[in-house]
Amino acid sequence: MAITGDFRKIDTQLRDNLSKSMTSDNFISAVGYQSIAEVGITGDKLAGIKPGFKEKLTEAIDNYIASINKKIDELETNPNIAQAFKGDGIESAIKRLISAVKEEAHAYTNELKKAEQSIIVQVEQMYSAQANTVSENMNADTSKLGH
Amino acid sequence: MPINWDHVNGSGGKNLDYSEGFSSKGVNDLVTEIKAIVLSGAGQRAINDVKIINDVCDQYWDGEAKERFKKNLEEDARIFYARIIDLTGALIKEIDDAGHSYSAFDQRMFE
Repeated sequence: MAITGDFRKIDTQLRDNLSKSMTSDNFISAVGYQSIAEVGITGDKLAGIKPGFKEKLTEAIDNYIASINKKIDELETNPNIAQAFKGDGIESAIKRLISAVKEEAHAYTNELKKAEQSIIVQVEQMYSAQANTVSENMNADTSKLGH
Repeated sequence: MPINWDHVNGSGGKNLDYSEGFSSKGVNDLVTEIKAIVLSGAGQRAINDVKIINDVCDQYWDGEAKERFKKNLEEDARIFYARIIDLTGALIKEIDDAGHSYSAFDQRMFE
């Protein structure tokens, strides 16, 4: 006799509500630091930022995100989980969890990448502004030499 | 309240083996395995590995903006962890609900 369970009693409201409240707005990284302009430009060097910052920051954040995602991927590659409960109710519940955790991780890490990109853009703008200032100063100094 | 899986097939929650659609993996083992991956794995990495990013910031970046970024990142990692705790809790509740359905089904089988 084929056994078929009645899973209509599974209440997914809790997870449904969690999913509805899932938004990148939960995270504050992208807006929390506002601006790094305060590091400013003093004299001939960028105060507060050392050479290699952009590369090191990107490397650290990319590794961080990859490490989290790699762990989450184990939910799908772990044979004990993948082969467990091939029934309508629990199998679909596990799939919903995997999907929700992935979405949550994506929302979190996406905001972090946005923050990183914003920092990098501002650092580049400061370098550019610094270069222009130095160039203008050099032009001014050079023009004085002719007089 | 979590279901007592013992009565489902007398296996103590281990080696559930419904030939029509189930593997032999026990419910408790499955939940433990999922918790290990989601919470002890991804969640703890998100919390603990923030330090690696913060160390880079400390080495290459000075100023109040850095401190704000670090603080916000730590807070976001905690938010992420709290969210996946809730999601895992929802899964366990859904598994319990499925268990109650199986239990009711068992009852009907024996009636």
